[in-house]
Amino acid sequence: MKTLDCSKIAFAYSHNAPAVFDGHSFSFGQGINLLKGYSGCGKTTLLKIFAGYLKVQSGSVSTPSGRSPFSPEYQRREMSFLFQQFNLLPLATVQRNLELAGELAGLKHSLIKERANYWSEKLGLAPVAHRKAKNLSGGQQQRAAIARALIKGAQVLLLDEPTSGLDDLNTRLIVKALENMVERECICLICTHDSRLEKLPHEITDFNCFLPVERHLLALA
Amino acid sequence: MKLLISIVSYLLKDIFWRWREQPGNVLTRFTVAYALVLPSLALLGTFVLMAENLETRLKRSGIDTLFVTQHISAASDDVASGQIHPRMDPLKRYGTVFQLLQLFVSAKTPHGSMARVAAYPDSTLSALSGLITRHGPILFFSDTLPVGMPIRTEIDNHFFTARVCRLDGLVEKFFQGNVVLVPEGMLPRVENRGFSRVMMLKANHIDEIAALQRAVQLTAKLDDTKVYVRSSLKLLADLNTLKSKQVRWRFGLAGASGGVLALVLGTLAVLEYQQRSYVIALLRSFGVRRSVVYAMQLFENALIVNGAGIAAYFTLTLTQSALYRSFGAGSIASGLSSDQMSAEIVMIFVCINIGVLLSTLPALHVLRKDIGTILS
Repeated sequence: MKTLDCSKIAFAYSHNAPAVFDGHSFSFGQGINLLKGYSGCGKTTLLKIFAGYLKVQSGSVSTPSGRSPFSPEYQRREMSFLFQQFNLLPLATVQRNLELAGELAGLKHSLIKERANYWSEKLGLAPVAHRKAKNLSGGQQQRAAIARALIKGAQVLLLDEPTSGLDDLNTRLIVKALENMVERECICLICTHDSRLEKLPHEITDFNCFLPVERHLLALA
Repeated sequence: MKLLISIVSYLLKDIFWRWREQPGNVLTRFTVAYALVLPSLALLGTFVLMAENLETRLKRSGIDTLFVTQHISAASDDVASGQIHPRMDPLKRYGTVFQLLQLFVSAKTPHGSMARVAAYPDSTLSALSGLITRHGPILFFSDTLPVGMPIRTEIDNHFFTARVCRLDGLVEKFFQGNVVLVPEGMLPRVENRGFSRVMMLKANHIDEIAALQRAVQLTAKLDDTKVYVRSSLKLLADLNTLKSKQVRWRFGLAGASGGVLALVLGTLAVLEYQQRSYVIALLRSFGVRRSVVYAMQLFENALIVNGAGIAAYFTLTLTQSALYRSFGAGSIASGLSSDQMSAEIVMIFVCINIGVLLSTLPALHVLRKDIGTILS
């Protein structure tokens, strides 16, 4: 079974800041893995480390394909990341945001079109597909960002608070979409406080068990 | 490779798409570059034109030629000596000597036009032999009358028939306009009234011209006679000064243009830092390589700035040709060509591209940062 691992990692945001991780190891298998914990305990930091967006000071991170998390190939094709702040291209349309992710992943144009239409329909984005991201409501932006993360069909799916601020109906849409991903046997890490996601078949990693909260709150301050 | 092409193609589309979305941004950069390059090119072009003008004057007057004019009065022993001033004779060793005696009289033609009169001594016969053989001993130099036409001229109440020929060769360097050339001794009464002996010394080598000029002046001083020396040395000095200024201005203006451009584009880049860093980080989060993102930043700025530079160059050439047309076709030279200004153009474009490179330093800083610290 393929896994996403990190071993004895140490990370701090700056030299003076307290360490977020100090010799910790994690391993996540296929399926949905929920990362739970207080705000600032390092959940998002771990996700970014797995995405290759942050560099650990020591320790190692291994991806299912064996590539480095900093490898452009891994970031383009094998991994999708949903940011807490969505980070859509504000002046591009929803359609263009989705196509961009597909194009950079090297998918065929026809497949990109097909998947973009599929996820737009599935997440209720079809009516706003040609609107610019900056003109969408928060909920629509969130769904567009999730669609962008899902369009690649990546092996590693890293979602940071995918349902925060979404109503029940939208959350149900997301849950259904994620259930599909589980069927595709991808490794999905979700940082969340949302108990509605607990309905998904999942593994839970509780960060509060082993990370001193005060230290991370200090690190972020 | 295919993927790289696809990424680059996407980023290129993205550039043009952003330009369409935010035309103010690209227009600002374009205008700044245009406003810097146009005056720089215009100023440097003026220097090139001035240098060209001086060079033309030098070529016309003969860069290796010295003109010595000595006024011989009626009382002088030297009147109608018939030959080169004996004291100047040794100067023959340093180059060709050609002299004419400009007489203080005018020639009249039946058309009512006037011409100056000069006499040629035997010593210059060899230089004029071609013309004399073809047209006879009395020559009427004119720019307008048909060559070979006989023309009756009146000089000091004497009538002669001269043949029209064009000013060229050595004679052209002496006179402009209508001139009648007669053999020395043909007008003794006029010659006895005094004349100006005009000698042309053509140095064997351009470096000898200054020494030749000093020799002439020294000889005149020793003889206690007054001579007027006309040479290209002053023009040459002016040309050298202008050319050295031209080089300084070329470097200065091009460097200043590049510097200001780097400053303005760099400032814009800093002002857009938040937005650009966000877009750069976002593209990197999709797996686009840093080098590709940086290259596209560079390409975008270079495209705008070089486009503005090319537009400025064409504006200058079009304005110039319009100006020349308004002066009247053929009245003056056709203006500057890209060949004449190639050094200036290359220098300015090199400097503005260095400016572009410097202006991407903020982007380089963004590229060094971890994506995770920019995107939340």
